[in-house]
Amino acid sequence: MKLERTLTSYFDGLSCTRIGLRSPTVLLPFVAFGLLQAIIVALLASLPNPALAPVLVPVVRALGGEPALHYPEHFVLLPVMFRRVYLPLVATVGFALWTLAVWWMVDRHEVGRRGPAPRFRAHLLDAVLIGIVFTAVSAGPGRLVALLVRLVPAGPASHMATLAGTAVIACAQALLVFAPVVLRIRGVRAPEAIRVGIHYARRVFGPTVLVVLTVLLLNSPVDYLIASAPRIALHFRPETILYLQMLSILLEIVTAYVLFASVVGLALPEEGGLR
Amino acid sequence: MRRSFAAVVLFVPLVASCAPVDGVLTRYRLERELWRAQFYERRINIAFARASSPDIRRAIDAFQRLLADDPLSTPAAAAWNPDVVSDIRQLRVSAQIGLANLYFLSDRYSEAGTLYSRTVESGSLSLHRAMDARLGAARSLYLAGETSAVMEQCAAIFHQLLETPDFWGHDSAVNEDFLNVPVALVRMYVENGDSARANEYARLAAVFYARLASERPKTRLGWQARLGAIQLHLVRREWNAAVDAVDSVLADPSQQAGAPDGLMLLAAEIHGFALDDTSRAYRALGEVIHRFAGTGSASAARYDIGTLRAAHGDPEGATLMFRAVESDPNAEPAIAARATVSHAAILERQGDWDGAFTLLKRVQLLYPYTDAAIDAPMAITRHYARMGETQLARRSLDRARDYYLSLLDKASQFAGDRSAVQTAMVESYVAAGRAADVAELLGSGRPGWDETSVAAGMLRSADVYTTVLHDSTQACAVLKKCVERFPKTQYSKMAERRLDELEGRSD
Repeated sequence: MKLERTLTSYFDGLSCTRIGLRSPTVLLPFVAFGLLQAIIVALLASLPNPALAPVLVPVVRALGGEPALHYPEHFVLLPVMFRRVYLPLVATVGFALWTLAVWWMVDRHEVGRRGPAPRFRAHLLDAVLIGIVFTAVSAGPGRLVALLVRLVPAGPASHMATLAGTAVIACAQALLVFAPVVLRIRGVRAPEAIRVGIHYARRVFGPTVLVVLTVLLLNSPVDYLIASAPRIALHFRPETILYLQMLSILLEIVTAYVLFASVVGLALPEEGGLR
Repeated sequence: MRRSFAAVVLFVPLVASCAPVDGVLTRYRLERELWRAQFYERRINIAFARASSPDIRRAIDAFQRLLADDPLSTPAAAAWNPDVVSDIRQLRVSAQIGLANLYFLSDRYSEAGTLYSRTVESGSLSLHRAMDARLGAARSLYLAGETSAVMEQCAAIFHQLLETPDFWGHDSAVNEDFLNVPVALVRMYVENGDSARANEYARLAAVFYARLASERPKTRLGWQARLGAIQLHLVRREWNAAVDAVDSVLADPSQQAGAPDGLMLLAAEIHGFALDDTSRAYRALGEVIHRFAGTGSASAARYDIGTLRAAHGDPEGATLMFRAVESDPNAEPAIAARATVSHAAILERQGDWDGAFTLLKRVQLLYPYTDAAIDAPMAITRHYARMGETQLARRSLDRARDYYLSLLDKASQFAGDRSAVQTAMVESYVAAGRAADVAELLGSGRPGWDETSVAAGMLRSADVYTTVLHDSTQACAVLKKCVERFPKTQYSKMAERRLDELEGRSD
């Protein structure tokens, strides 16, 4: 019975992604963040361009070390370099844009329209603070899991460690993912939004974890390919890694939208919910 | 005001850290070009047995483009970071070696040899890389027919081994192939009739092997050095010294110079065939049979005893031994086939042609890819020709021709010496009085043969025209065809030398 309710809530949440079809403008923040990332990746990959090299050489050296100035290591290390830029970027700009998207999605939601809408600019700093906390709890366990997987011998044990790590990340994200919606609905400051978000997440934990896992699952094939960058460089053209990184960004536009649209759906059911 | 301050704070450190990056970019560009060239090279290596010619061409073009561009010769290079300059130099060396390997793979031996030599002369190679490049140069120049250049490279390798402290350091791990270079060098000088150089290098080689054996006793390198010293004695025909050296190695139960049965067999063969000391040979061969019963070496020892007995007028004793080898399941196919053919020769001499014929046919049937089987059709044709049985000689020659052509075919499983097949074919035809036919057959360059067989066939055809048919015009025509078809190879060099001799003689 409980499983049925969980699955119903999960599918109800996912059905909220139709909002993007009715109002495509809610997609704009996701696309804008994707474009920003694509520009950064393209710039990092443009190291051999003589016009950009004077600026890019020190930047690439700082991000990837001396090996990143060599071919094909430059492309092999591209995902590592990008990740070093991505984490602060997603915690600040990314989360600000995604929170703006949440603002617009709630504005267009039947239940969300019923209450007064606080101004987004007044909560920009709160959105960034939530972003920093969200990124830290996502990246922290992720780093720990990566270290653990390296310590465990390859085989079933390593697969189990990866799965366990993914579950931990999914749970951590599920607890924090409602905070931007709380900001919009209640107009509170970041710490209160996080507290209320966690409290609400515990009520709808099952469907939320399923949504987060769906998103992680959608990203996993490209993430796996990017993690295999040295092998790809050896067997194919190293530039393939750049194309994979671009594909990952494109996929993130979709998955981030699916995550936040579903979370809005889970937060604003007809009865109960965050009001 | 606040915004412009932020801009200054952000951008000044960034701009200040922007050092000149020309060297880094040039290195990056060369690395990318080298990677692309090596990408084709990797594809060629994956499909080595059937390397695709478009890939070889693409890889050669890519390496050539890379080497045509020498950024270090530009004035700007003087200001580059020394690490970047060193990297660029190593990239060019890698490209040179890669291109030389590809030239070698595409039979452009002369260009390969020149490039390997140039790479070594550039002086920026480690000991191992320099030695590998020199070995590549020696192999290429040998195949390009540049005999004197091969000897120069081998001499350079040898001197490098002698004089490089890295090599004598205890942690150096030099490819054991290089230890064969001194003895190969002496052999080449001996074969070229340059006794002064042969003596000089033999002395140096003996000192080299002795030093290596004493400085690295009980190591693999040390044992290889002792084996090299034995080979040196054999090349110099110092038979007693060779036997002493073998005995001294065998006296050490922990020796790793070679398998003890092989070394004992070698010593016994030196006694029997080189020193003509049959009693010591029989004793030594008997010991091999006793100590290594049921092995291939015991069979080889029995074959040697049979051969010695046949040579010393004891056909019955020889037959006993040959029969024992024929029926020994542990005998190597080459030894069993050789024993059968030797047994057949005894039967033929005793007038039992039917028995001999049966054995010769059996060899072809049981061991078709051995040297002895190659001799069998020749022995049959020669017998009928000698007996004046023209019809039978022609028929056996036709069968021999089919058999030899099947061995020479590119798709054949035969992995032995195709040149020996051509020799046997020539001898069969000459014995049957049809030298013109074999000269024409070998000179035609049959499409089903590999390039080496075609080239060797043309040279052999010219030999038949010159020595058997006394037709220097035809010989010159075949040699010219060989030069045109295999330019800048050892074959064209040999053909040119023979053309010079023939034309000089006609002048």
